Amino acid sequence: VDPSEERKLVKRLKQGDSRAFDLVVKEFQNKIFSLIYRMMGNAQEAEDLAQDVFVTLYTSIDGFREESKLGTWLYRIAVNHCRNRMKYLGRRKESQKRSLDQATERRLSGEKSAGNPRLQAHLHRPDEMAQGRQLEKILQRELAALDGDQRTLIVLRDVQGLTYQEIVEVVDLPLGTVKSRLHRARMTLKEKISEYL
Amino acid sequence: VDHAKARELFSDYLEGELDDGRTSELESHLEECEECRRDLKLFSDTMRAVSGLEEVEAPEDFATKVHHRLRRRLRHRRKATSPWSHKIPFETICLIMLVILVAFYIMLYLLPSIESGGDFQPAEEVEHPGSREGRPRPSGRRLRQAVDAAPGATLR
Repeated sequence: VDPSEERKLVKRLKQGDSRAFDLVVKEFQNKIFSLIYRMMGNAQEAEDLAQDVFVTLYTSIDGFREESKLGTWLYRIAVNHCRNRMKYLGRRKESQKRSLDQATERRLSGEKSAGNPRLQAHLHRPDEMAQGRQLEKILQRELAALDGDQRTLIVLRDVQGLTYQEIVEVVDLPLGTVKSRLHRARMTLKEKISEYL
Repeated sequence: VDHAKARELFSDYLEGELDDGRTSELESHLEECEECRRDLKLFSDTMRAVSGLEEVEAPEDFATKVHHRLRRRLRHRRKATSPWSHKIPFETICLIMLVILVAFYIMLYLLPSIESGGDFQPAEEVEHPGSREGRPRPSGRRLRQAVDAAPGATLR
């Protein structure tokens, strides 16, 4: 969105204009939903949190100081919602999640050892594999297993394609910290999925 | 550049953020080190695989659901900030009721008996500045006797 257009849009939002709110929802719903889905790995959770993000936008727009783009601010709200949710789920479902991960691991290793021809074919062709549902599942699972901060950075940079400056504004960390944590996150992910590449 | 140092540079190298000097240092190490070359390939494949994850679209009725949720939230917020929304504690209500009951009791039983019972007599004839001609007002009994003595008169 053009900066002057965005300023007008924000002004309308601050006046409580519901049409401006509709425009923002329409413009950002897929980006925010996708970000949260990649962070949480669950469509139901993503829908719930994404709805909350837009409600927060409407109720907290007066606090938006326009130092960053509206989209970046929305990403920031979304990341904070995800972090809070992850903390809550981490406390509540830690043991449940662990057993689920083990079950998935067993299923995947079973498929691999059984020599699933489709997966085996993909294993030797990374380009095709990158487009396959199987790799997507594996990636989604391994992303979910990353530490919350690492997951946030990988999703923002590699999945959503944000610039480093935008990421700095979203996560409120210095550029150097963002880069080094992101690199560690990629290394961790590489270790986890290298056997499928 | 050793193996560990080379691996630290992978992200910047693949994103084109490495200066020329470092780029040539890394590349000369890669030429000699097959292990690091293999590792860089895996690192690059990982990044490409993650970047290949497609955007997931929100459900079709997403905007409608957002509106419903927003309306619910605003209604709830208005309710919460309304002065009538505050709950009065049960103990406070009990105390208020007790005070009202005591006040009624005093008004209905004690005051009439003080007024008409005659038990109350001024201890001395004190001069009251507010009373007519500086004299005390007659008590309830005296007033009633005076009214009864007057033929055809009634006390309202």
